[in-house]
Amino acid sequence: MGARKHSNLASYALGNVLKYRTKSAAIVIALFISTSIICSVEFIREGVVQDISASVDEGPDIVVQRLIGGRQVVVPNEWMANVTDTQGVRLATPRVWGYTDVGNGRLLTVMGINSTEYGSVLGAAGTETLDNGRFLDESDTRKMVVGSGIVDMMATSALSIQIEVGSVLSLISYNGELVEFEVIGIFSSDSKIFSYDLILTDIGSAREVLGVDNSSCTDVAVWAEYGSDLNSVAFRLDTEIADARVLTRDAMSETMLKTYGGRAGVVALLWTVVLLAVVLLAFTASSAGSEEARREVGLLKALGFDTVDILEIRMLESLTLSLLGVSLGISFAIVYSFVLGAPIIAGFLLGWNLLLLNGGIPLAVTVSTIFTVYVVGLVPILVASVIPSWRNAITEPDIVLRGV
Amino acid sequence: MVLIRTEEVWKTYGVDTARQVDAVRNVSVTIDKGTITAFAGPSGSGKTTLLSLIGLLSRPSRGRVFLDEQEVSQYSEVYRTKMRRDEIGFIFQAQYLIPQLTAVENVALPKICTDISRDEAEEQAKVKLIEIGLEQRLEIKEIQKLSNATKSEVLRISMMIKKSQHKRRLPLIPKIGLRTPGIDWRIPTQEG
Repeated sequence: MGARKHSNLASYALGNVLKYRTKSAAIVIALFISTSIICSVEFIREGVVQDISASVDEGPDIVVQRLIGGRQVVVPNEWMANVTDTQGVRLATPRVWGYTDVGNGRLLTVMGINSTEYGSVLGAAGTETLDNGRFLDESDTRKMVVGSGIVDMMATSALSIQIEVGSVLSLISYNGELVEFEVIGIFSSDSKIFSYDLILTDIGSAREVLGVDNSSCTDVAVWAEYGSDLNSVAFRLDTEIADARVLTRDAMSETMLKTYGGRAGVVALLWTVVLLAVVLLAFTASSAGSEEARREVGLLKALGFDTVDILEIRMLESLTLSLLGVSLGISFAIVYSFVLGAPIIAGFLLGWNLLLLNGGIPLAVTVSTIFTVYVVGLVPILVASVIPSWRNAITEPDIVLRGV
Repeated sequence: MVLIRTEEVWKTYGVDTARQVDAVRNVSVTIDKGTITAFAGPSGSGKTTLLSLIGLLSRPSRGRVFLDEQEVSQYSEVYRTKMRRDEIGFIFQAQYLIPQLTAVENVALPKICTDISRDEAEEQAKVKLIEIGLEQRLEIKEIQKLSNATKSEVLRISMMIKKSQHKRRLPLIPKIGLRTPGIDWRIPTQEG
């Protein structure tokens, strides 16, 4: 038996897909919905993972914060000497950060830094990631480097303001006053979470906007000596400063990944439930419990179809439906996520980070994600429909046909 | 010349369960080539089961089945399937038409698992169906709406279309007779 027989079987299988319209449509729609959800979640999760990696690479090795009663409070400037003198610390610099808006309700991250110290650290945020303009220098006051999201946001605002190097942008300070800044640079960082909605300015101006007094800062960014063990440095800092919370790069990365990973897990769980429903549907439609399908297998056997022929037909039916449903789901997820910005799901996964701006959602498609979705979509449907048919096909045709 | 012979065949369903039943008990029968033979008996007497055993749709629990003096009851399932495909034709009851297929597709179905193209098989099926005056019903989608007589004709043609490439044909018709309308006895009992 040659290719023509397989062509006949494929044609018969495709005919079945078209003729059992209700069953086929139910499976394709269910797979489409479940795949769309999981793909959108995976695109965001993958994007977040890449973003967090990029953010952590750009940021300091260690961040020192102060906790009192479990709450984060400002760090007194006196800590700087302690931190700087700790063995293994190459550079420690205070940061002042918080959130403000430009009057449209969207929160932006404002971070004040010591530009000389920050700029001196190779790979530090902003030093090598500017699209336009320049980085802050020591003499700058009320100058800002902004994330590309802010440029996008202002361009799409009611007044359609084009932000570029030299533009003036006012921020609303903690006490409701407008503070004017001049844009001197625009980020093009790989990290959207870190820089998309970020306004980087000098520490004095940040204090003015955020209401942090001159004797304190929000946290201390620390870079360790080359080759030193980060955990050892962190341990020494933790030991020397009683009320310090010391976060290493790995700890920050792990915490962020856990946050997003956990949320993605909830959606994945929902997806599993939907997929299970699809599998049950496929199983019911093709199982020994389906009188029509059972009789068809018996009849085909009686007419001289081999067990392998019947499995080939069922596999082709399942593959056609699964490939169609999963491919449609993936295609829709790409449009939903990359074009529409993954409304609802992005909010659920990113939480307060979605104070981010439109288009600021980190997204990524990887071959492994697509492969996984295809495998997870195809295999259960294949198993759910082929196994019952196989059981019927290896049973005596007489028993299958007559149901004895 | 003997075509079919059974030797003390038994068929027991539900072995070692509370539902164990002997559908066929110790039946020995001989059928010569070129004859038309009918099994008659009350409902549940094992007529269809005996046909299934002869038609290789099931294996006897005990006893032996011979076709052309070859014992076929112990053949492998692969070989039994090949024999069903090449040597045996069933004319099932009307409910064994596949409902989602048209009359043409049902008739051409036995050839799907051969190397004859589907188009060619369906063309042959069309010719046969037209020959018996079913040209108006060739592509009808809801085949279950056809009359029982028409369905029986479709099933008969379906069995006939298998025969063209093979020398021997063993037509088996489970559950026909007075209750089956429109049966045309011009079935091919032998070729060559």
